[in-house]
Amino acid sequence: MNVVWTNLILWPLIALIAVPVLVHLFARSRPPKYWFSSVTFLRRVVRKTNRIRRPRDWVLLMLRTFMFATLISLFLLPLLLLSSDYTPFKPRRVVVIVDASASMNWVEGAQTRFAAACSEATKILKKLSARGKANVVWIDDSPEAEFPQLGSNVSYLIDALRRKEATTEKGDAAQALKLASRLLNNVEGKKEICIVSDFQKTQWSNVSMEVPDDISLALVKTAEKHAPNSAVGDLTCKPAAPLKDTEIRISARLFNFSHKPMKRTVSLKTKGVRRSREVMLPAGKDKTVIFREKIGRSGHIPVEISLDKDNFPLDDSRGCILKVKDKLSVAISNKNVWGNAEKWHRALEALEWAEPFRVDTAAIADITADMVMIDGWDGSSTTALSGLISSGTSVVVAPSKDAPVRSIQKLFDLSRDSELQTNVVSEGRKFGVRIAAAEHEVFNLFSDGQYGDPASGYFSSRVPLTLPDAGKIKTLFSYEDDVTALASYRGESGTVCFWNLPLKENYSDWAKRPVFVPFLGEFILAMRPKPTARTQSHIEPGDKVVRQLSSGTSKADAELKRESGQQIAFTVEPQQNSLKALSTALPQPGLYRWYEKGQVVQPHYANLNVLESDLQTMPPENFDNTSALYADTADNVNKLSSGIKLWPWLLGLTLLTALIESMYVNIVKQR
Amino acid sequence: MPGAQFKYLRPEDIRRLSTFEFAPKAVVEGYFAGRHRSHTSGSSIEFRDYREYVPGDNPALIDWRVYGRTDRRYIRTYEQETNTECHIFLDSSASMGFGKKITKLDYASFFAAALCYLVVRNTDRVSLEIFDDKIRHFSQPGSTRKHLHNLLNVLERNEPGGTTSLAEALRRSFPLLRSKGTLIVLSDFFDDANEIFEALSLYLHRGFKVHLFHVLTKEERELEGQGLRTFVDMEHDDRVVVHSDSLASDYQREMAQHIAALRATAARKQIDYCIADTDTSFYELFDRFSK
Repeated sequence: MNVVWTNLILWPLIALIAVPVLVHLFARSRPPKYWFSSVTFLRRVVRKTNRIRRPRDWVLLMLRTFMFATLISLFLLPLLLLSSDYTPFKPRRVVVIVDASASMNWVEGAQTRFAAACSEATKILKKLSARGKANVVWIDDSPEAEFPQLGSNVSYLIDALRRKEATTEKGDAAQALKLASRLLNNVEGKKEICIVSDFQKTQWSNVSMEVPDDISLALVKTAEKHAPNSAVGDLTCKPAAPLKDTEIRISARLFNFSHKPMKRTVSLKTKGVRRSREVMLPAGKDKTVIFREKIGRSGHIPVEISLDKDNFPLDDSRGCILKVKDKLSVAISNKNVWGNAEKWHRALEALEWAEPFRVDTAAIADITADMVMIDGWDGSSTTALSGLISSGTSVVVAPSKDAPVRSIQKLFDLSRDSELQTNVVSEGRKFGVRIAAAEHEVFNLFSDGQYGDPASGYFSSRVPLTLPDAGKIKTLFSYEDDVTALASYRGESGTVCFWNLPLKENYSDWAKRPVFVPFLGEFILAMRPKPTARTQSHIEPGDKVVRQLSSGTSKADAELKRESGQQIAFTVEPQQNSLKALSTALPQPGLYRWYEKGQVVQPHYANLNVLESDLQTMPPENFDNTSALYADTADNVNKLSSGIKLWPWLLGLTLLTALIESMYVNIVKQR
Repeated sequence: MPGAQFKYLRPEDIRRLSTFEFAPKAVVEGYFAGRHRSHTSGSSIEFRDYREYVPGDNPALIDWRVYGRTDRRYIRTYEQETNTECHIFLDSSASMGFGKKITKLDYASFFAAALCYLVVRNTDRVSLEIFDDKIRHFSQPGSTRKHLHNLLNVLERNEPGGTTSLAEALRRSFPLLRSKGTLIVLSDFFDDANEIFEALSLYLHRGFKVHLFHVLTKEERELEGQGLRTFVDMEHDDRVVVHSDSLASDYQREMAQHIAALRATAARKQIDYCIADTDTSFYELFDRFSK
């Protein structure tokens, strides 16, 4: 912080500060003589009053000297600079970064944070001289500048500020700052970056404010410290792809970002169902509410949890799309080595919610089903199976006796060094099985014995392998000699099961037992793909959605609409047999639907990024750039960057000093 | 005094003084028959008291009628009417030369001349002493017109100068006054008050009626409107630089205290004390003699 004198031509006037001192010194030393009868009394009075008068004189001298100093300084037009460099002749090059992220939609007083930010940014731009150049960078999901380079058309930028609306996207502040620095790179002039934002803590806490040394950084905060917001922070549906009329557990985390507890009404809305309940949200904490519902329709069903509206309605609702199925499609291989394929197919046909069909093992890569069951797997097509698993399909393999151990290791993600214990095959002998993991959900139905003992029956043939019951591999059944009878491997992408229970009549009587069908049903239900709705539909405002249009559907036949009816533009790219539609950025949180020939074919639900819901702001001391100028208004930034004119203050100070001096003199006289 | 023109006793003064009379309420001692009562019993028409005859008394004064009734010899005593003496002490130090419209010395000289005239007109005796730090002039008491002329001439020739030393002058003058009477001191009293009254004690002890006239100008009393000045003492060439406006109130307070001290001491010693402001007419000062 320093002071510069802009009217240096009058600098010699500074010598006039000495006038009061000189007057004080000389005017008193040679006053005119006055012959008086006797100075005895005068001397006595002077002696008495000197103790009081001298300080008074000094005070008066100081007041008058100060008044002169301020008066003279006034004519020198001082400028208070908070930045160290004073370059009055360099034109300003300003990049104003305006935060347009979702948090800027918070309403404070009569306007949103974004409106206030645009107003402040306009003030900064209006202060630019004719030689100045500027640009505006918006902070949103993918920050962009209004001009490709800095431009002198400030009125356009001001108009852009007037037209722009805050997005509902999360903001990438670091990227915006990089873009602004890049715009100022290789530019001559006084380089400035001014960030106008609410400086939301969740958005800015990890952003480095470092800019090149030749760029000065100013921060304008357009937000109050406290924003009592509540939000639906997370929504989870389990299972995400439920079967029709089966129970779904819908849980939502409700956040209270204020310092006071809040009583809110939370509502669940899904196809034909609307439920509400009141919840008390503790201050600064979150609370999970759970709804249990059954959906009686199949298809893509939107589920929405909402709170009653507050000042920030964007995060007051959150939704997902449930893919409710009529039936579970199960592809069963044609091969029937162990007799399993036939038994599986027949048993699943007995279950109304299952839809088994037979497929050629050779074309396994092209299978579209919830589950794939392969009998007598010979270790081939490992890559294709891995692809299925990673795409979310559960795979059950019943390996043949000659299946290579290496293929099994690969499928179950076992290292080559892991030991797969090989037991001696003892054909003709009947083996019983035992339950190895009674706590597993597969056995829940059988816990009370109503449906029989799933471990009953015998098996006279098998693959003599024992998989390690550790890590992600869970052994459900094991033979008496610890050979693995049934095991599951639940990886990050999907589930694969090891079926070593031959069902052919020659080998086993298990398939004839009443317990077989319910067990197989429970096993299929437990092992089916279980993506959560959250991961399935993680779309945010600003994202683009893609759809492979059905064959024969042209772009004219397709539409993407918001629930309100607003159409979202999209482009199409020709693919092999159809068109691939790519939307523009989704503008708002909420439900979007793809239409083909007027029919809804696919819904999407865009949710606000949960980070945008916490509207608490960063205190200025938490920014890592200590040289940045921090101000609450753009006027202050203008003052800070171009200097504060001190002459009005000095004029006021001079008048005040004159007033004090006259009052002081009057008081002294009265005494 | 036809044909005579005196600076301090102008014809209009004489006209105006025709209605005045110098009549101090003091018992005097004197040798000449006059209009003032004396403690000395003498031949007069005003009976004073009876006193038993003692040898040495004039036998003619024995009241024989009383003797016839009481067989005791008493003599009648009468108040002797005698003339009075007025001694005027005029301070002529340099400080008395101060004054804008009229100097303090001129003012005092006018008053002294008028006094001399009134005293001589009553056939009383008047003396004049002009002093500063020493006695510059002393005229023996006299009651003739010629004596009055001499006094007026002395006043006209008088110039302010020297330093004030009233106490010293009083001490030195005391032996010069042969008979008691009225002592009138005209001075600005820039001297030590204790010493002044100590010197006056001699006169009081001898029975003098003392009148002190403190001659002051308005500037001396108020010290206003001068601004920043180097005040030069007229007697000692002493200098002090002050701004009169800033000191006026303190100075007035100091001066008032000085006057109050003089007045209090004078009252305690039964001395008449009066401020003679040069802005007021000196005729008003004659009222003091009637109190």
